[in-house]
Amino acid sequence: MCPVYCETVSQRLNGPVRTPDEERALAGAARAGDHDAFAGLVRLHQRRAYLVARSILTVHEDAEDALQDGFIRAFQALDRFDVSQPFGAWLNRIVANAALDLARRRKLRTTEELSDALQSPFHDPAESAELRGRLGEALAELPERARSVIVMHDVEGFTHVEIGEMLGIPGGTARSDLHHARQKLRGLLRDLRGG
Amino acid sequence: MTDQPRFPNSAGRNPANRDALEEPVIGLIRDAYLPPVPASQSSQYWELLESRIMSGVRGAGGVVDVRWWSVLGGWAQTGLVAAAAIFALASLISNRLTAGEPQFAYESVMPDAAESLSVPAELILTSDRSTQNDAALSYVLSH
Repeated sequence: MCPVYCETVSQRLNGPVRTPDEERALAGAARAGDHDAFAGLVRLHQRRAYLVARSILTVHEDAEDALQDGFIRAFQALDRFDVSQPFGAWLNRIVANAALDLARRRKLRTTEELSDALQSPFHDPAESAELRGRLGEALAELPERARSVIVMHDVEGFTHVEIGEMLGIPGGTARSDLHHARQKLRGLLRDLRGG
Repeated sequence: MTDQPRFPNSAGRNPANRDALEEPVIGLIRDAYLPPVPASQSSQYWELLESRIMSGVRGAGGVVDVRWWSVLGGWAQTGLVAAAAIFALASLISNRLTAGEPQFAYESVMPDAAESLSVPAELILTSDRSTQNDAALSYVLSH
């Protein structure tokens, strides 16, 4: 079923895939039904896509569920993917949609739950546990979208336009959200320090 | 091309971005949003997650031709199917009722159509029989 071309792509999967051409080749092969090629795309994009899902859902287990759902949706919609476009941007929009869908279905998390979800048990021992705790509390206090925007932009480096496309808002709104989120986070951290 | 986190210094990337958070704060946020696994087991974690994703992809089947109704949720699709079934049933019933209407209308105008048809036939038969009898009587009388 799959042409020789697909075998060539699959053989490359053990090595790092770095060029747009190689990614395009993987996407083309995956679209033809090559699961190994799609696994290559998963390997390539899962970390950033995880952060997209986690920035929206906050809770690690929810982010994993949304990530898997997003990749499945992407695989099933590959025939509509334009291989001339970056696969990552297309995938991240799908994963963000899956995360937003899951967020709508899930019950609202309490501030305590969110704060706990941001307290990683594995951390740099040089960091103050107290500081991490305060930051977790401050992030949990932020409105959902503000939290997503600040993580996507300041941690992962997505542009306002990219964030807008993922969250279904104009790029200008993402920019404004980011500004307010930073101000609010600063204020919360100041209050926590003061308290 | 790779999805390795970029961990940018936002202020450095964009000088106009004056309200950027301090780098230590960004570092703490980044750590909080990493998967909760020890750094030494990070590679294994991503390999396991890749396996989980791919098992889901294989289980979900191949490329799906997405149509306009697939944007509807599961219940909306069920509702759409139910509405289509009700419409089909209503159409069937309506057709049956309207098909009977001309016959009903005819019968209401001609209450006993069969009877009204049989009378002339009987008359004709009777008439034929009497003609035959008359002919026979005339033949007997003439001889």
